[in-house]
Amino acid sequence: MHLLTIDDQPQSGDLDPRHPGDFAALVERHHRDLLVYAVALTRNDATARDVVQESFIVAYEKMDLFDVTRDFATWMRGIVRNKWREWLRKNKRYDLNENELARIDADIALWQNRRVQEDNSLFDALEQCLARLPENLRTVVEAFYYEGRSGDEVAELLHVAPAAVRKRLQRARTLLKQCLELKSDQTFSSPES
Amino acid sequence: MNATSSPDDHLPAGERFVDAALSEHARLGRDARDAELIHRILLETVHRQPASVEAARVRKAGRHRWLTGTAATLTAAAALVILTAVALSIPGTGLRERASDELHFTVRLLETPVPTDKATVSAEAPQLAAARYAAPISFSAPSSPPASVASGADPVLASSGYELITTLGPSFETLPATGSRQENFRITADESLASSDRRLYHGRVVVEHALYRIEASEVSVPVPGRAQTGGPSPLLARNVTVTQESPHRVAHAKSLRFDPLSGAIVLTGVESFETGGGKLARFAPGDQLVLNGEGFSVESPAAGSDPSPRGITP
Repeated sequence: MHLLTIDDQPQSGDLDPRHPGDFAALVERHHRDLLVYAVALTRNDATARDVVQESFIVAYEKMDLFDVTRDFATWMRGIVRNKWREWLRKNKRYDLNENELARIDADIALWQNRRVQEDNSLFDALEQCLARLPENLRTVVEAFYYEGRSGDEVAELLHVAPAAVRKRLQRARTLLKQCLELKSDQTFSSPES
Repeated sequence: MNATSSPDDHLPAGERFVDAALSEHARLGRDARDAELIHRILLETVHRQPASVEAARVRKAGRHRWLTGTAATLTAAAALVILTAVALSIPGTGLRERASDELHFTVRLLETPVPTDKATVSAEAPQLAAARYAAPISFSAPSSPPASVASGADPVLASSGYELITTLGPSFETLPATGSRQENFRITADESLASSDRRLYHGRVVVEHALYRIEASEVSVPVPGRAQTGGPSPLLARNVTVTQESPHRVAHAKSLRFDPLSGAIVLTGVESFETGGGKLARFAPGDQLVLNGEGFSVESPAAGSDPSPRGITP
């Protein structure tokens, strides 16, 4: 079960976000996971970057409110969520329901914790999982995500129907999700050594 | 999501996470950092003008003290007024409103006057006189230029006696509040990289300035607020087109150097220069075109060399 209870304990190591130098280090550490989170919420790269930028600025300005006994990453995800909701209201976009939101939140939280605890990122695991994808799925993923082709362009490239491309992308994402869950489970269920 | 997918595509939550991770991995790879985003965040937080951050804190403190009615109330309120005024007077407080692919860049330097014997630009340089120019400039040049310049090597990196390298002032952080000037740029680019002291922009780079618009394939600027060991660095660019609206000028050149102290743009490897009075079409290797607001000049590397520019196309 990948929806583990996230231990909401300080995960910032020796870093104290109230100190400017430590805050800068925390920005470095968490910005990409928060970008993934924001992209998952907004589904727009530029908006996601704005949301993350605004969130860090709010965090810095509201640092007096930060409880140092809590986890900085968790606090930041909360600010990103609030910023995303503001954006939804302004842009009248559809929303995720709370379960969907909680699921995405849990996915990101696992990898944020792992980055702190093991210095091992979501992207390390993603590369390993990509390497395990069946060839036909990996080709579609590479063309769509890494070469920036549209679904129709991928279909034309691979001489398959656009519906087949959508199906393969869906299948690839599902397999990658399962693979990532397995990797995170291995990490968090393994005994401490 | 990739750049061509629609935000309105409804994906299940689980797929949205993987979709976002793939998208971000495709954008920057496994270990890279989003240097521009980090830079923007730090610029608005830990590198922000201390007065504006302090003002926010003092505002809170002032409000609290006012309610408690202690003797410190008046002091806090005074500080609130003063610091708020300082915060409001700081240019660029609207930075947060910029689009995600833009960056406001500020160079602040001492207003130290350039010694006249080293200055290469005359503010009164008549435009038409330069357009008709057909003889060597009697510029009191020092010895022959370095081999790197003469051989056509990258003039930006060359240590030439003709470059507007001045004894630039102290680092940005130690500048006094008075006597400083600001040069505000807005830089947009396809890609940016950051080192400890400079930022490099690639792709189609556009630098917008109050006087000039610079299009280039590459632009390098010093990181604002970072101490410069040898004094503040200039803005450098390659493969540039400089456009000035008033007076109308368009220059194409291989490299550009913007000296923030003098406010002059120095172009080398000039391919053409067009003004309202004519077009300079040919330049000798090593010639430098200096734009400085109302005036401009063409500098030849050594007296006695071929006339430059040689051709004037009306």
